[in-house]
Amino acid sequence: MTVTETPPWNMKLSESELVGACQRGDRAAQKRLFESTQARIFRVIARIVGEREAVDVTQQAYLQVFRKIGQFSGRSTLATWVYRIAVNEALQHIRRRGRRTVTTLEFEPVDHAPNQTNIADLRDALDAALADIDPELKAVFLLKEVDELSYSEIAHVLSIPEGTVGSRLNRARRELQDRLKACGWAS
Amino acid sequence: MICAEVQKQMSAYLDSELSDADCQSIAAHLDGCTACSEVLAGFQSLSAVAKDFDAPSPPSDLWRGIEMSLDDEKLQIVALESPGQQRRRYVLAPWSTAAAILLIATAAIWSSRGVWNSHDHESMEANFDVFLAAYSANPEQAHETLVRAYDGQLISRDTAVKRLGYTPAALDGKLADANPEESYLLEMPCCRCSLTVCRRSDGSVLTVLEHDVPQPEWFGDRSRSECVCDGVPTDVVQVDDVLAASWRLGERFVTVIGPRNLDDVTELVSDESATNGG
Ligand SMILES: [Zn+2]
Repeated sequence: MTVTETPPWNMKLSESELVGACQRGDRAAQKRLFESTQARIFRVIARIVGEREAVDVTQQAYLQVFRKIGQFSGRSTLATWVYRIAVNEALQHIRRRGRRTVTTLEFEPVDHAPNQTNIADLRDALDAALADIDPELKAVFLLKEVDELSYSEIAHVLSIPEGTVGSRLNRARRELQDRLKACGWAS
Repeated sequence: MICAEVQKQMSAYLDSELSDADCQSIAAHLDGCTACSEVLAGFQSLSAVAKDFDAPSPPSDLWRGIEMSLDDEKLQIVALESPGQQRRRYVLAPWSTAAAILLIATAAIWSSRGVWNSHDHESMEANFDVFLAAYSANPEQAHETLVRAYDGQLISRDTAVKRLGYTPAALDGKLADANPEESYLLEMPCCRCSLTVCRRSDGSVLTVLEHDVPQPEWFGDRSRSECVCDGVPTDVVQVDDVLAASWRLGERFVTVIGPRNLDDVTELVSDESATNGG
């Protein structure tokens, strides 16, 4: 899946018409924009901040979208623009909150070999490791691995140079691996 | 190529972000280098686990929360708000949305009970119209219209519990500054409901109805607004020089007639929610 989605809203309404209507505060248009993007937006926010806080952050993100819609220039698609605001809102949220105090130390160091029976444990361990690394690294990893964005899309969403994406991903992956190894998961 | 250079590009290699030439030289190095191959394998297994993450779905009421905040930003305070009082957080939105929500909820409940006919609706609206029209001139007596129309029986706190299965909020001391003076049981077409006349410390009267389902038709075509009072969605109707307000309280709905402004309403709403432990 990429950020460039075909507009799923009413065919009769072009993207610029939808933007115009949202700018005028048209509630139906706002709802349409919400409905066409919410599944993806909620998912990425839930990944970054955790499911428990995702509802609040998603609401905040959409309020930002509607506040800022006058600034939408059409350089990216509307879906990408909304996504970018959402990711940044989520990042701001975890920066404000501070990193989770969940650490990989909670996991007993034992010898694990990833197989069918413990893949869920491994997923939990990765989740815990993600909560433990720098939010910027976490975001770049999730945008790549879960949302499958290209480096140029990630650069755009996070407002960083495209050349930095690869090096951040290297760091993210190494740090995650170190944390998983520390609690006994072989690479 | 040295290992450090290769590992610097390892993510880009894995993610197919390299030119063909770069890609080939890294592949060639990996063929003969165990250390770099291990790094790559580690990255690949992380990828596999991340792909397996669940995709959480948004809750169904997500839009409602956003819409309420959007209304909040458009804040319109009713003219009745008295100056000098501490401003609380409340919102008025066009009635249409709230009405739609209430009507949907109400329709669902009514249709499942199947006891309604249009005559019931009309007569209830008419009875309430008389009651509300009389209210500001004679708040102590106005409720008698309803007592007559709905076989009202004067009840004590104990009888209320027996007949209704709950203690009406007004008799339970759940409303700030509202001393119950008399309480009735009304057999309405929608449900059995309680009506309590309360006296406030300034001598004014507050009439409190507690009912099983929302009752927007009690207020006919009077101008209505949806309001969020201390976080509780509340429907507010102007009745001459007082307000009527209705909100959900646990499994039931409370409607009060007599608050002078939205601060007043907010006091009542927040006091109840506080007593109910949220
Ligand atoms: Zn090497």
